[in-house]
Amino acid sequence: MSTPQTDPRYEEKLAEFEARIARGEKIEPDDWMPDEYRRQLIRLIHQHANSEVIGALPEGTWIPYAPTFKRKKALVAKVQDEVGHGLMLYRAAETLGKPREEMIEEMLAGKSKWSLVFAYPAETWADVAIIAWLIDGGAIVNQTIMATGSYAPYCRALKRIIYEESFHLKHGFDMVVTLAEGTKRQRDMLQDALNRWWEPIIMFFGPPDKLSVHTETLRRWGVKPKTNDEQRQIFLRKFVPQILDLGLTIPDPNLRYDEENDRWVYTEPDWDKFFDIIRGNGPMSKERLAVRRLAHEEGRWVREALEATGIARQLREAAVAAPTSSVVA
Amino acid sequence: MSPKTWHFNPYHQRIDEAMQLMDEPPKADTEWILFEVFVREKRGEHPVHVGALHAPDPEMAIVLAKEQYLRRGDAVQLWVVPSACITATPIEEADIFMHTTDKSYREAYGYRVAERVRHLRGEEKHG
Repeated sequence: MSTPQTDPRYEEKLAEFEARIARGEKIEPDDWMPDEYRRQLIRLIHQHANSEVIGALPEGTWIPYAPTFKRKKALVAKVQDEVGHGLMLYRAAETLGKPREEMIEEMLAGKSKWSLVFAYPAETWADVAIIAWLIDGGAIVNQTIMATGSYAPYCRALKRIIYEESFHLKHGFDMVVTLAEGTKRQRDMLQDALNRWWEPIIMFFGPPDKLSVHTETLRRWGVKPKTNDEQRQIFLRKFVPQILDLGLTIPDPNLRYDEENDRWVYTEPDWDKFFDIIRGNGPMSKERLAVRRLAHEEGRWVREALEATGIARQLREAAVAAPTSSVVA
Repeated sequence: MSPKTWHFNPYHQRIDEAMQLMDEPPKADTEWILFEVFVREKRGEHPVHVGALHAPDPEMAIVLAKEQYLRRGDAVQLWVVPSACITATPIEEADIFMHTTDKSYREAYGYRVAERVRHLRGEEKHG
């Protein structure tokens, strides 16, 4: 439901919409909303959903290679959670009008983006530990902030996701500490993983504010309650002391806390590299999509067999024959 | 030590086949029905809406809802309802639920009795 911008009521509707958000009220799927709000949210939530599903791949590869049975069970549970998060996020984006099948197709065709961190290989078990601690840690920082946004279906999905992510983080930290308090070989493996993952982690929060447009509008509309740089600072504040506490070294000689300006200073990543990776040129970008695609194609016969009962078609026809009002989410 | 050949990962063993698949566009997929999911956590409580998911039929919706919404937490019962069965008022008409006149006569708080009883008792003592 949207009023075209040439409509004389547009300004009035926009003012009401912005006032509602300023009051801290949430927007539900069938509320009036500006086209730009809808467009930005679909793109953002779609990419988030893609990231959850692709994110299951670097860790899923390690399930058969987990060092203990307990770790294997925890990793299976984590991967299952990530895929479930993807499901809920595609659903949240779908309430804005984009069909789920279209979103999945675009992801498989490489037309829709996902987080660059999953374009890197998980080379050792220590990578699995670092990912679960620091990437999930970063995701929780991001998601906690986004859950204060204005679009209700996204907020509801995030609330459930954050609850499940708390186990991922705790388990990740448990794995990291186990390695840190282990043999020299384990500690070296952990440091090596951190050395390789530090730059992707810094890039995880996206390009610096000076490279972003629409920042103020997106903040006012509750699409992006905090900027990329603000989120990055929150992450650093929380995790740098913990990393150093474990006796690890952060591979950025310029990383330091600027007391005067109350912010962490770090080496600015190569943002051209960032854009290149999210365009699909990361070390594992093509493999990730190919593996997802193969799994999707291999499962097709199951989906088609389930449809063969004809019940889905009957239900769809019944829905068309007796339409109900309003969107439910 | 990284198991670089990934012997136990069937997809990585077939990475070349997977990469070839990328040359063709993805095929159109099955379309499933949207179901709303409700969980009754304990006997005696209402079923509570927890979210939605797509499934090909109600039986599969139950199976998938258990996977998605009951990985954790307690439940004694699970409901799924095709979303198309739900009738809802439009959100922009939320004001139809406003109480415009004083309807406190419908509520317990609309009746102040304790003070008057105290009065009665007081008068009896004196009189």
